[in-house]
Order: sequence, then structure tokens, then C-alpha cells
Amino acid sequence: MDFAALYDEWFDDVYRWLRALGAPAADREDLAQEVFLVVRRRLHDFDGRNVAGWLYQIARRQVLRHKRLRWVQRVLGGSAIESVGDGAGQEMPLQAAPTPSPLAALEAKERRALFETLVAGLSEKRRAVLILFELEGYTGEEIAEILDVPLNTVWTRLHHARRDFLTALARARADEEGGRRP
Amino acid sequence: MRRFVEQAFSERSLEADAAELMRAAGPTPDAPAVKQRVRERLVQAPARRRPHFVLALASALAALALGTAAAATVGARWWRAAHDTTGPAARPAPPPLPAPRLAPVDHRVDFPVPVPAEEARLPAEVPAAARPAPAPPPAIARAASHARPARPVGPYADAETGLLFESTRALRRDRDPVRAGALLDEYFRRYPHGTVSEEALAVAIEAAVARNDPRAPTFARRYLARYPNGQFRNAAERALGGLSK
Repeated sequence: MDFAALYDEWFDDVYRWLRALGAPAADREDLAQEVFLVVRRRLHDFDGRNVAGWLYQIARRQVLRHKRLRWVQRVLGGSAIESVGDGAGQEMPLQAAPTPSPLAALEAKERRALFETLVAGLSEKRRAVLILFELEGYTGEEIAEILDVPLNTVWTRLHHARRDFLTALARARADEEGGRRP
Repeated sequence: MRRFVEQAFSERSLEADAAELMRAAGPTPDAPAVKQRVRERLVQAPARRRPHFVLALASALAALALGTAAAATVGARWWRAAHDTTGPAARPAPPPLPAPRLAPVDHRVDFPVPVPAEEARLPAEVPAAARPAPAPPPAIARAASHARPARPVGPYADAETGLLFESTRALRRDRDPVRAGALLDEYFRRYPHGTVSEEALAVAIEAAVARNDPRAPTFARRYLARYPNGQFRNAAERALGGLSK
């Protein structure tokens, strides 16, 4: 298998998976590089059967390693680690798309931030399925292949992820209401 | 199954609110500029990854800081034990606290510093000054005060690592192994296969030993079963050995 071709074909998917795996927006580019460094190193050992599943597991391990390092940094009490991030981590377009109004833009940003906060509270497995299905547009079958699990497992995780997400959202809204009361 | 954003929910329902958030978050757009930048960096990168200096330095600092804290904890225990004339003298000493593996404060112990093996290449020697022998309380207090985070910790990377960090802080900074144990129980309930579960189990062993919890060997055995070659294996084995005596 040719590394360059694999990179061309799969980079965008890997970049999406990093988000589903909970990688902060600011770190995804570096993490994508780490993933493909590992891919290049291990390509000759790959059996070629499930490219998506293989790449996903590499991405998952890199995100895990990254989280552990951040945990060390936290224990040190030092460097400021990213807050919630800016949502999808989109690239800044050369020419910014017109926004309806500053207020609408602010509200959209707040909604993205709230979404990221809520999904950060989900377990890794549920968060991944929720984002891959609800946001990134993968089908259940595609997710089953990426995660290397049966299709029914995908639907079960999605069911639980939605329930957890709604519970967290209800709690967040209740907190907001409580904060508004005098 | 239909996606949330494709469904029609009644207005002001929680589901409609959730769908709105998902719409706002949106899919990750293709990032051709990122793809190109990463491609160029890959071309320049050597085939074998070199140890990252910054990461190695962070690991070393973490080990040193936590090592000092662990030494302070061990020293404080020693001091209390030496001066505790009212307590049960025959009480067996608890097994040693885990201490930073990378900063050999006490050769018997291992602290669960979550340093990936690849990043655990440190300067060959830790300065002698960083290896305090059992010291009298004033020195211990100074060491502990330097080792603690100087300011409150802000938002965590995510809820899972936040919970683990809170439990570690309860154990090490607040010296409250009971609270640490409760937080860790919550961690294992919420994240039975979490991304930092290896570290959580290592901290759980330490907390259980500190509060003389009979579950300590259970945690240790669970650690060894899950991570037979884990980086905190020695600590788990020592916990088992210490408790079996």
C-alpha cells in the first residue's frame, strides 16, 4: 500500500475522527501529523484488511497519549491547557463568510461551545459514535467498520449517547435558569 | 436511524434544543490547507520519531514535582509514626506510597505519573538535591509547598481526566484518601474503560493503601490483570506484597 495514496484518501477522515475522539481543536493538526507518522512507520506491518479501523485505532492511541500528557501538565499546575475549543476547529477561510449579525455569530459560537462542553462529558465510545453519526454524517455501517464493532453496538452506543447528551443538556439549561434567578 | 438534525421535534423541546446545538457545531469541514501543511511536515520529518524535547522536559518536571510531593508525604508519615506514642505501635506500617518512577525519591515506590513510555526518556540523573532522605518536618513542609500547584486548576481537558485529577489532588494535596477513594469509585462507575483508567487504577491502589481499605489488593490484582506490562506494575506488585505480609 502506498503511503501517499493512503494519506490523500484518508486524511480528511482522520481529521474528523480526531474531533470525535475528543481532541481539542487547537491540537488536531499536530495530532493528525502524529497519526500519519505512525502510519508511515507501521505501514509495512499492516495486513490491509480494514484501513479505516486500523487508522482509527492509531488516531485513538495518539489522542489517548495526548490526553495523558495533558494530565501530567495539569498535575504540574502549569501551562494553560485549552478550554473548550471553538467547536469544529474549522480553518479560517480566506474570505470570511458573511454572518447575519454579530449577535447571531456570538450565539452560534456559544452553542458550539456548549455542544463541545456537553460531549466532553460523555464516555469516549459514546462521544465518538454521537459525533461521527450526528455531525460528521457517517452511516451506522461505516461507523461499525471504523470502530470494528457490530452494527447493533453502534446503535446501542448512539442510543445511550443521545440519552446522556440530553440529560447533560437538561442539567445545563436548569443551571442557566437557576443562575438567572435573583 | 435518522439523525437528530433531520428530525422534526416540537418547538422548545429538549430534543429540538439538542438538534440546534448539533447544527451549530456542524461537521468538520475538509481542511485542504491543514492537509497540505501536514504533508509538508511529514516530508521533512524523519522516518523514526525523535524524542520530543518539550514533552520529555514536561515529563521530567512532572516527575520531579510529584516526586517531591511524594517524598513529603512519605516523610510526614514517617514523622507521625515516629512521634505517635499513643497509637498502636504494633500496627503494621502501610506499604510505601507510590512515588515518581522517574524521580527516584524512594527506590521502593512508584508514582503513577502518566507518562507514555515513548516520552519517558529523561535526563540520566536526577540531581541529588531532588532526592530527599526522610527529613524533619520543616523541610518536608517546604518541599510540599513547592510541589503543589501554585494556583487553582482551571477547566480540565475533559470530564474524565478532570475527575482523575480531582481524585489525585484529594489524595496528594489534601491528604484525604477517603475522598480520593470516593472520587475514584465515581470514576470507575462512569468510565469503566476510560482513556486514563490505567492511571486511575494506580491512584486507586495508592488511595486504598493510604486508608487501609481492604480493596487495595483487589485494585492491585485488577491492575496486573489488565496491564501485565503496565508502567505502574511494580507499584501494584508491591501493594500486593505489602498487604500479604
